[in-house]
Amino acid sequence: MPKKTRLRLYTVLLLVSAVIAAPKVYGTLWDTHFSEQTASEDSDSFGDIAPLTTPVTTPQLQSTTTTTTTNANPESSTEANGSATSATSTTVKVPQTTTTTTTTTTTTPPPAIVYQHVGNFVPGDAGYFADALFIGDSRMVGIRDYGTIKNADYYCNVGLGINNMSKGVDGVSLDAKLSAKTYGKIYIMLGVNDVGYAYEPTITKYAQILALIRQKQPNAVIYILSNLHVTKQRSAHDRYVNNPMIDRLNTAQSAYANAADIVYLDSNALFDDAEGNLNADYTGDGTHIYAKHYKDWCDWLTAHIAAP
Amino acid sequence: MVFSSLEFLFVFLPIFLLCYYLFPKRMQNLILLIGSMIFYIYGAYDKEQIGKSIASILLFLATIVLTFTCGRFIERQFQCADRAEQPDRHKRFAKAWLLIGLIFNIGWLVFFKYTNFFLENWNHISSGEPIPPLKLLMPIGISFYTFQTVSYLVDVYRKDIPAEKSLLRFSVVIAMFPHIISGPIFRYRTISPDLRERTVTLSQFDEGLRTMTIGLGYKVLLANQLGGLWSDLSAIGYESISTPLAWAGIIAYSLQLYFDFYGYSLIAIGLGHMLGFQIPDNFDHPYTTLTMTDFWRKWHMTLGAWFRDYVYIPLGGNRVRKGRHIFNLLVVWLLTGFWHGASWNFIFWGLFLFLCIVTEKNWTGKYFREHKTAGHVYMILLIPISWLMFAISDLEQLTTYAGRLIGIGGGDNVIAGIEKVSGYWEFLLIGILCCTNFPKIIYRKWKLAPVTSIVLLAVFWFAVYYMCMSSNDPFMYFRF
Repeated sequence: MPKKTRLRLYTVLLLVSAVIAAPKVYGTLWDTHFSEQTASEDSDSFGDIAPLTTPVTTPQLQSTTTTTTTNANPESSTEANGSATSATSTTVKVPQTTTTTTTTTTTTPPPAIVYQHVGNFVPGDAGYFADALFIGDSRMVGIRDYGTIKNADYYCNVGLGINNMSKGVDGVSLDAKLSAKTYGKIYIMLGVNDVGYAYEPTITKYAQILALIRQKQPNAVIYILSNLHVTKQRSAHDRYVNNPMIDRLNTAQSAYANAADIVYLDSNALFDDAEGNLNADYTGDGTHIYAKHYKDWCDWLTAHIAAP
Repeated sequence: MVFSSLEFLFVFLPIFLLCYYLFPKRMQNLILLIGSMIFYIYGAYDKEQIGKSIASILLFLATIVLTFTCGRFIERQFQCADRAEQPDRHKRFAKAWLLIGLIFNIGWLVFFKYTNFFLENWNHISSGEPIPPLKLLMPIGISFYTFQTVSYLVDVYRKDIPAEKSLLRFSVVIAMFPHIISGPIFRYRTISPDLRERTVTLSQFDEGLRTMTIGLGYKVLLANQLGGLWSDLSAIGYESISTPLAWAGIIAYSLQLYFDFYGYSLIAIGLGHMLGFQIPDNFDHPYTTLTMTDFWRKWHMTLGAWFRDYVYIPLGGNRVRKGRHIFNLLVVWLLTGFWHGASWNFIFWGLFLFLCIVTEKNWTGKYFREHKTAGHVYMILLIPISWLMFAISDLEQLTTYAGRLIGIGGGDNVIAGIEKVSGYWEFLLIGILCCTNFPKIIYRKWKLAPVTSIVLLAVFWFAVYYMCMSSNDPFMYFRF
């Protein structure tokens, strides 16, 4: 190859390859700037499973899908339908107000934030988790790596979300994981990686995941764990990952709880500040709690066992 | 608009380059100015703070015009002084114009960058009502363009260069998009010959494109990936990391910082080549140096040169008695620290560098230069420690991390071990390899081989692939 050609070879190659890659690159650019994120990419991953419906819209859980009818424990679901609202336990977090010694007048505290769990909860012990499976994203990875619940199974990965569930974890699909062993309880915390995606399809897909769990593990108690909030700072500056978006998703997820074999636990009660944001003292990146706090979370989960 | 974005590489750059080459040569400066202004405005525009972003754009324009005008006036006063009977009067006027220019330029930099720092400290020491911090929007590139304009004014005043006669040419140099955001900071005379006469051949363009690709690779494929480990550690909490992990983390950060900035500088230099400009080098394998003194001659070289030419030498440099020399060094390093950021850790960092350099000048430097192994070990320990002070602005957190490096503190909280580095090992190794001059030797030897073009092509498209991934998935860099 003559030197003159070699001196220009890279430019030529780059230009040619750019022409070939142009549709893909400009397509990505177009999507970034002019279209909403959608969950369509792998929407067929749970296509064969009818999504679980919420007890609110469909009071008869048995009739939601054929898969749940055959498998659900009829006793518990009947109970659940009757007591879904009454079994809602709440944790009220009253903001701490510091009072100086000289002040005698009482000041009205800001309105307390109510954390609503769905289900009846009693304290338990570590042995409870021996037949538990924890499904979730990086916050669940934190529970696995830094928490004190070591006897449970984990199906979690950094970045795991409702919309990329089909990618699996370490090459194992959720279906395969659920088929391999019988679990007594399944904790699921997903969604913070999905707030950038279209809302409705995400919820549908979430319901499909719940239905899959119910189908494969008919006797397990499903714990829907709320997604943890982010700090005030992060929430104020992030287009997607902000607390209103997280709350919207949490509320939608909590609607699937029936207070019997599907319960909902709002861990934000544990880590929020007085305004309902993740307490900035607990986190370095505004999103994940420090490793040392996972112990408290595990203790809290142990103290909140769904009453049989 | 950052260089490592699809918007820059596939929208701005192709359109700009087409205009630049297709229009007649005499219009190239104008096109470069228009392109640079679009680049600047796109970067400065913040739809949530429209008023403030417009103000910052106007300030940038005002800075250019005022500096240009001051330069002209300074020169005119000197010309008058040569002819007049009372030259001192005109020289005083020249000095006045210099001061006006300097106060305007440095004043805004100080205002935007340091007001809140001063307020915060004032609130700390005063017992009165605390003054709330100002909500400022710092103009993009102000730390860099201010140094560029100050350098120009002083050079004109010192008669090192004639004042620029064309506002267009002056604006092009200050605003030129390859260097406006993060340098390199160069002296006016470095680039002024290219302004009047420059040619770009296809092989020069090819050369620039190669340099740009290497920079892009360093930035996207190394720095951005290594950054993950550092942010993991801050999420875990420093009191929970084991000593080996603490060292791995700070090494990863050191590499990230280097490849981020070096990559950026290479892109700037490459772009310069493609447009016919010779933008000076900014790094020369700093991590292979034997002393801190040497390190700072090879790290961010254009900044070091600026402080040398406009602070250190005017103060007397080293041609003064010893006490004064140490004072001069102190001033330079405190300012260097403070320039990097408005918080105490940067001041301590500057002080730390000062102490290292004074120690080397008087005692240890000679030994380390003569005993290379000892020098390398010394720097391998010292570089991460100095970057640690740079990285963590919260002093309490800084102490915690420093404690973990030597195994102090933590106790029961230490629950994250070296296994957290898995997934980063290959980046750490490639990073360390690329700090040596080994890749450069290979590159020089094989530069014209067709296989090199293929490798560069792969680097480019890998980098673009990563950029596509991150724009497809808004959580690429902050996945939970």
